[in-house]
Amino acid sequence: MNRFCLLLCAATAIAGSSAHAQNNNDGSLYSRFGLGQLESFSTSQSTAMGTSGYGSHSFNYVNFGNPGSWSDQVLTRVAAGFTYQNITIADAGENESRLSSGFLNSVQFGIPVMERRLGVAVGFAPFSRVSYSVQEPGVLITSSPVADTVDYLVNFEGSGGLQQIVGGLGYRPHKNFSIGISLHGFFGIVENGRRTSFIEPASGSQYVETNVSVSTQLTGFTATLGTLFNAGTLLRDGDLLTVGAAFTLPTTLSAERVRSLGEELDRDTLGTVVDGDVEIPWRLAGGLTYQPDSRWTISAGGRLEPWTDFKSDLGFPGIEPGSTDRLSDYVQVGAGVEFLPAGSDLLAPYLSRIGYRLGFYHDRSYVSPLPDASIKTSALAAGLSLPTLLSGTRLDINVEVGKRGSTEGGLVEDMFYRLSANVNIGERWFQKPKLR
Amino acid sequence: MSIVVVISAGPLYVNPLFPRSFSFSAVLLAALFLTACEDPSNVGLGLVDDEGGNPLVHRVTPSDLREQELGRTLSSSRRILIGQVDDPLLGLIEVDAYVDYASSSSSDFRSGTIQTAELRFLPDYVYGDTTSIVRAAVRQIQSAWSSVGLPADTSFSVGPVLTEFTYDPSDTLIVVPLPQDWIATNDVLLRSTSFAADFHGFQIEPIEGNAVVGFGYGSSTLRVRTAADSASFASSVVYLAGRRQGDPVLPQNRILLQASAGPAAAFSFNIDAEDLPPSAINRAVIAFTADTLALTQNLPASFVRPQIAALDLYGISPDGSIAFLARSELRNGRFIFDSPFLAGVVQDIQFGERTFVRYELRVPAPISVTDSSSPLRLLSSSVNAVLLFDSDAGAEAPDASITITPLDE
Repeated sequence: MNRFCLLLCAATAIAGSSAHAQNNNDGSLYSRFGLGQLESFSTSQSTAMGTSGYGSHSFNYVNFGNPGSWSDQVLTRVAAGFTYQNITIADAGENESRLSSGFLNSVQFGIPVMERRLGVAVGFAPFSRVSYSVQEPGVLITSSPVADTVDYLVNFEGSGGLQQIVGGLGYRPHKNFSIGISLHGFFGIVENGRRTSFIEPASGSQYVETNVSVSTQLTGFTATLGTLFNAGTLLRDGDLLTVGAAFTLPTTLSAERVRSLGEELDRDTLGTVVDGDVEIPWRLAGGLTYQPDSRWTISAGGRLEPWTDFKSDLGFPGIEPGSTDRLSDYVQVGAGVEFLPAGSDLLAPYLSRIGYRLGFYHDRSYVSPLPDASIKTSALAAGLSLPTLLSGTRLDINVEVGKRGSTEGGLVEDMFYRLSANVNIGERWFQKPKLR
Repeated sequence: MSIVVVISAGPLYVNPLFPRSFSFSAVLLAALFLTACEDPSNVGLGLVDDEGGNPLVHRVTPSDLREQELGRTLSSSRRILIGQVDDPLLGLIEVDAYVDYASSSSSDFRSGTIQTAELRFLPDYVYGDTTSIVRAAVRQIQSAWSSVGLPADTSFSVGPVLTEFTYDPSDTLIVVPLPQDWIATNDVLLRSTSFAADFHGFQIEPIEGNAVVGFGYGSSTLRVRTAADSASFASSVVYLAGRRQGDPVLPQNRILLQASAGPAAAFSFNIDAEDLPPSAINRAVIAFTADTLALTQNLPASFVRPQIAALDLYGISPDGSIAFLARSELRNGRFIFDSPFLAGVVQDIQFGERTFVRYELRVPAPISVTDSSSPLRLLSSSVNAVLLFDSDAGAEAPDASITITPLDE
């Protein structure tokens, strides 16, 4: 249990630090628009397999892509993951900007109430992420009363995003059918700002930096209903096909917007606080997984979110109230494969118990900086699932390489490289041993 | 780049199947992953749209620069200043000094009988005729007094003349013996442990001469001797009562500022919200040009006229309270007030969070000079002067600008 406590403490502390990492303005410029770049994390396994885990049963992971899978739990699990991202942003003139950052994937906690029948799970994960920084240099020349020339930078920056706390349960009423429900609590601040800073001239004149920001605090709730159907011995003995779907209800977030001038702890509010509603659309995710035997897992899945139904009393970058010309329905498709040479043999050599994963995904963003342009992302993913000395614990290392956007039509293209590490610990808690 | 350090609570459980190194590795890996590094540029600027943020310079003209009576004292003076001088340019000026002393004596001293008492002064300043012999009278102050919050030319209740003394400019030390009858009357008081509370000091008033002379604050003492021991009471509180008895004869479009005797200066600085968009204030600069030439020309023989080397800018609120805004030393003939604090004050004015009915230029008060070795601490304990070009002086008139970043796109 000390191991659990250690990981929980570390994960909780680092969850708070995730906000700090997000405040470093070091991500994609496309995260400026709308509510930020949508994030989705089911399991580290599905990340390496093209984010295709919506139709997966798993006894080794707490799958937040489909609450119906929470009925699968055998061990009490804690999982946390971190990602390091390096991104190069380029425009048509081959100018580049390089940024890197680290952030939390999620923290997940799952408990089997009735082994392989009823389980509960709770977790924390980002819903969207705003993190960008663009600079514009300039020169200010004054002649009176003091002649002075000073260089300055205007930084357009954004940070924050929406976080969510998820909790719920999954139940398997029949060996071929599972159902689950989860509640999502949204909270977060989307902040877009503009900072004018001066590079001190040789004359020693002192300029005060200007930092104007618009902060929108968002809160709300929604729920997800998930189901999984599985059937075995379809094409061969011992195979398993699982089909799953999860539907997240549309919801209205309460928004409160403040425009301020100054630094973090010394801000002046400009104008009055503005309240409004932000309606985010439903989400439908689905997928299927085929396991011909205990060694192979092949999955595919996708997600649809009709963001053309998005409504907001408050404008966001790229989205004005009542206008949808920069909005598109969010679509994501992905597929992947996992090979575990040892299958279910826990006594096999170490290298045989390593899981090897490969996947790809493609999506279309829900918002674009330009009318009638769509921002598409394509990425390849791969991963290793390393067993540890404890049978229920694995360390997953994933890499992703992808491209977002393009350099045509005034847009920019992101090339991103991600390295993530996810610790997934499983132990028996609250369960009487069957063998005395 | 930022690095997150994660501290986990509780001891690590050492399980042979779960090495401690795994825990440390996981935590360090997390810390590494939460580093961040930026090398942003203007790539993608066109997607942000034109959102402003570029600073502008907005000219503002300080107006109605005028003479203003000296403000109330903010602290004790740092120099004993006495004398009278008839300046052919700046008029007749007189300064009296009120000095109180702190107690310092031994048990041997307190058990004896006082035989002699004398005032000792070390000269360190002169304004006026450096060859003039100054004669002054010493009187005892009758009641308690404070040096803070006093208007210019305050006077206190004093007794008859105790003694007179003369100061020759060639003197390096002035010793003023106090009369024996005064010593006898105050013998017990001078040796008592309540001396500081019961004795209120001396007034030193000029009688004749054509110079204002200054004596070092720390080096001016009341020295008292008994048969067995002696005591030096250091000056502890000093108030200078300066006054102008004759009008200056100034060149056109100049105003005078003079320490101790006055006047100070005031001006108006209006930031009209209608002329200025809602903005963040990045910098505020206010400049005044000094006529240094007029004060150094046509000086009488052996006449010195030290000039003011620094000025403080204050804002005066409707209720009369004062707010320090900035300080400037005289450089290249100008006082230029330029500080982030001044920019912050202008920002408050623009937001309507602060109002001043006027602005004043004053000689720095000792309490506002934090560097104890700075000569600025002695400026207000002088009769130094400066001439500023006023608002009708054309190119030399006061000038100001504020650098703003409009808040709206």
